[in-house]
Amino acid sequence: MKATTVLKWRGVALMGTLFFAINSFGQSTPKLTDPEIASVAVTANQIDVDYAGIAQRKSADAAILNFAKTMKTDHLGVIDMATKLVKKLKVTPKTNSVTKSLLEGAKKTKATLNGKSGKAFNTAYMDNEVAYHQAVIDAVEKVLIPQAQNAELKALLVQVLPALKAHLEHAKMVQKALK
Amino acid sequence: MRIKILPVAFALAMATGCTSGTDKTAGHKPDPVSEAAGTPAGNVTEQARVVVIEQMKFVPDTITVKKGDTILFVNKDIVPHDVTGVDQHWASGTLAPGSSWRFVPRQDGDYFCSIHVVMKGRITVH
Ligand SMILES: [Cu+2]
Repeated sequence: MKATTVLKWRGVALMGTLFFAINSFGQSTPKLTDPEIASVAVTANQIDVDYAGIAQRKSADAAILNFAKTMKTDHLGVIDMATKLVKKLKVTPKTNSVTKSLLEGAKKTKATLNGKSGKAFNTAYMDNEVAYHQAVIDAVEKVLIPQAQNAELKALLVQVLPALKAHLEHAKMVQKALK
Repeated sequence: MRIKILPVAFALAMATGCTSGTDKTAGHKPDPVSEAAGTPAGNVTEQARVVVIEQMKFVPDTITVKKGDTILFVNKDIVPHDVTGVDQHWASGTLAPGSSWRFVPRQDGDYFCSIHVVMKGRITVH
């Protein structure tokens, strides 16, 4: 019973994320141009900022509130860097299938999160943060970095990876403490 | 970045370079090196007294200093960090990217970044 619930939740969390779009690899790895990569990068960061906003509204757990605050700061920081870079490169971020699937997934996840409260919310938020960061790391490593053409865009993505990985470890730590 | 490191390089030059006699007379400040006759060459010490924060790590993550020595924490990362003693008795406050913080540890201690709690380091004082 419990296992089923967890699996079901994970499914929801992952659906529509980059992981979904990308992990089905092989034939279906999306091919992205630099403007599309920029759009994916900004969107992926904004989604985690949004999740953090929900957590700040709904959670009373100190470790979760601290984590959410960090997510907001860091992901907004990355958006800022990306925005400055695309301006400098005179690139206009271009919405694409991955951006859309990200947004669709986020819409569902937000609805799920907004429907929960208390301990159930805390668990759902942290489970999603673990899954989401893992998915984004996979996408950045396997798709965005390899496909980025502009050296500065590629460098930015490389630069962001350690933060994403630290966020994942942080998320796992908070998740574990909830159990 | 460079500007911020210079004062420390200067302080270290004073501390290590002038050791051989003059420093005792100079000192209102607590003097780290008054008994440091056998101190290794300046460069080594200088390197060891700076902890760079980059790619979500304290580098080096363990550092040994003499009592009274200053450690300069420099945030070269893309996000803000802090340096917080695990005993919670001391903390840098938020260090924005590009900023730095000086700390004179009084005793051994583990520290972490309270913003990214998986980032850890250790200071040994002797
Ligand atoms: Cu940090």
